[in-house]
Amino acid sequence: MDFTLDHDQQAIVDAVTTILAKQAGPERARALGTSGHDDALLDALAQAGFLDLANEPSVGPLGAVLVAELASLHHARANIALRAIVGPMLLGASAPTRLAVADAARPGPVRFGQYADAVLILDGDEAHVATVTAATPIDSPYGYPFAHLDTTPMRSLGPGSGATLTNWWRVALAAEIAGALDGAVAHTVQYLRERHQFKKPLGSLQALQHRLAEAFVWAEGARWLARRAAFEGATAAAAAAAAAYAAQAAQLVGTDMHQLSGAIGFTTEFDLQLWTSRLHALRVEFGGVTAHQLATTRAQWG
Amino acid sequence: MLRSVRPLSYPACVHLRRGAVSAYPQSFRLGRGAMEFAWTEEEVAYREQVRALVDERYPTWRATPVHHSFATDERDQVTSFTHELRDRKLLTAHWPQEYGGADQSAWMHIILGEELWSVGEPRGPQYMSVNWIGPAIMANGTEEQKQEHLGRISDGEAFWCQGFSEPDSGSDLASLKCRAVRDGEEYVVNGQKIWTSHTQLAEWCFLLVRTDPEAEPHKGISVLLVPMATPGIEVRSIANVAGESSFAEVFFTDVRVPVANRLGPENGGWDIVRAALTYERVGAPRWHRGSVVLDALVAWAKEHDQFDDPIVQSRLGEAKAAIEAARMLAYRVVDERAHKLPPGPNAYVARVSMVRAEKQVAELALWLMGEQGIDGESLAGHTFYPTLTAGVAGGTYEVQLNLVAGLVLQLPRR
Repeated sequence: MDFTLDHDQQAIVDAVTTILAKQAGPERARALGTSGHDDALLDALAQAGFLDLANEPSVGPLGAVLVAELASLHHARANIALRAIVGPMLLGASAPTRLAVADAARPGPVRFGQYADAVLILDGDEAHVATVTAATPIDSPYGYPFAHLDTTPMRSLGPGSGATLTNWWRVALAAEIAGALDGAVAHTVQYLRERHQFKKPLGSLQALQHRLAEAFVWAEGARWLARRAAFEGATAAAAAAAAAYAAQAAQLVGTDMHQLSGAIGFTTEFDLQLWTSRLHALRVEFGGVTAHQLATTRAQWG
Repeated sequence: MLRSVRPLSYPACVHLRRGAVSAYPQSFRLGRGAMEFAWTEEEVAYREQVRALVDERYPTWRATPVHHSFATDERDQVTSFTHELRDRKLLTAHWPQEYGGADQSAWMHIILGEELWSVGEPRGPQYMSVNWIGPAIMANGTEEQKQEHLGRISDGEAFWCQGFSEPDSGSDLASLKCRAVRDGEEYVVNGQKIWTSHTQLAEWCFLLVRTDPEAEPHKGISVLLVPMATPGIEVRSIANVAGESSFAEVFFTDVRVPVANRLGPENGGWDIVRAALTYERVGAPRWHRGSVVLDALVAWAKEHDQFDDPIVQSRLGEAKAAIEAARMLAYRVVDERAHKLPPGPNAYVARVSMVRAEKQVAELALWLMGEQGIDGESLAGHTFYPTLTAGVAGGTYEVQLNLVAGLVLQLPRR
């Protein structure tokens, strides 16, 4: 067991961070808007090979989780977590750059659906690849573009592929949540250090310190569970536990950081909402926290 | 580059790993290998050996995990187990050879703790000797002290108690008043300790005393290693609701302790105890005990036709996820130790997570078992009250939050 990145893993983190620092971030996210899509960023990451690390033997899915965490932290306006984690694990080298993931059993809108060249659809025990025949975008305050889709199935990935998709989807959700939790907590800590009321920094008040500390512990737990689930090849138990914990953390942190930030936290100019709006979308995706908790129990104890 | 995104100034110790993909600035350090979360073959084999010994000696303990408290006349029961661990070279495998160990990694220590603490701790108070008293003596002791104590610990013979808390010094430990006055080559100790565990078996006390009442609170404290048989020590047990039968008050009246029994420099005790306590934050693997209790709860739920209830399954899943998060955060601290890094504040993060998870399991136990959990001998009975101590013993939950806020998040001082 080793919690340290080696040279190659660190090089990936550095390189992806460089791309995101130049091509993503809060200003870029605001410019594109909630319903926008960052083709340039997605293409840059794809061309550099960072969306296909999961199948690189020397890197593996853990490397893809690192990319997903970073993309979420930097407000990437593209479906990077699902593409980098689910795409290679289900479709290998044939994964299209613009990929969305949907569950046939759930009628809700699909994240990034209107921008997808193909959709991976969970259909019971099987997953299949489909093309989008019609996309109806919806208005949503939850930080991502969403659309209802009409699709045409192209090919099935065979019996058992449904479980594979389920588990990697949960890992991707956990990783994406972990990145946003990290950003939301760090932003709030910084704000409460600087914001003075009662002639002192708000961050010096113990009642607020304890809530920030608890939020930080949630965020750290979510991060390491996502990484372990990826390292273990998304076993059903590890993937479900990672998603369950992350979704619960997203609910708590996604609301409490607003409470701690006060009125300015609700403004669009304040970066906090860029993370929290997404946390609330992610925590209800794919059945949400209860579905992940049930899956944890069934995987662990049958 | 991350700094340009979030211009924060968290200390480097927040993320000691290059693996910290985070909004927080980092102190990079090259690892020996890639980040990975697998056990080595040696670690798997070691765990199996410890498990085999537990199942051989205490075959029923795993199904009903109860934290055992050994009475004075049960000393031989404890030592027969610790001797067996010693003979199989399992007791202090992670210690250096010169002190009776086998130079194995810090991971062996936590595996040992997981397998023993989780089923009720058949080492009795000796877990403490291996966890932090031995390491504190190793790091700060004289050659004579090392010779006297480390061999006994690695032989499975040492029984210690911890003389820390006082009636007016609980969370504010540095305000302790138990006084030690130098008289030639001895200290004369007067004062009182409270909430002291394991006194019924303890032969030695790791005692914090005030040696300089004029200095700032944390600069006037020393550590004395005191034989419990020394004249002037009186122990009175305290009845409590947590099932901890070994709780006690310890009174010191003109207790004479040789200066040679002082651990580390005079008035330098605070740094010693702070480092020791940082180790101890993850010393008792509460996450693993929670995991074992969950397994037992599932068995109970299946037996009582409650397992198929989705509300039960949801709460089990919630608790399991919390336990696994605590496990990972604790393992991160062990990893720091395995890399021979000094104790850092990630231990407080782990402790918060651990206490939260263990309490969640305990609450689930009582909720699930309902009236049947009222029976003190039931699984819930053995879990609920003892777990209430989790957020108090070894530093309260709120103190851990203070430490996370101050040392990790670098929030302004109150």
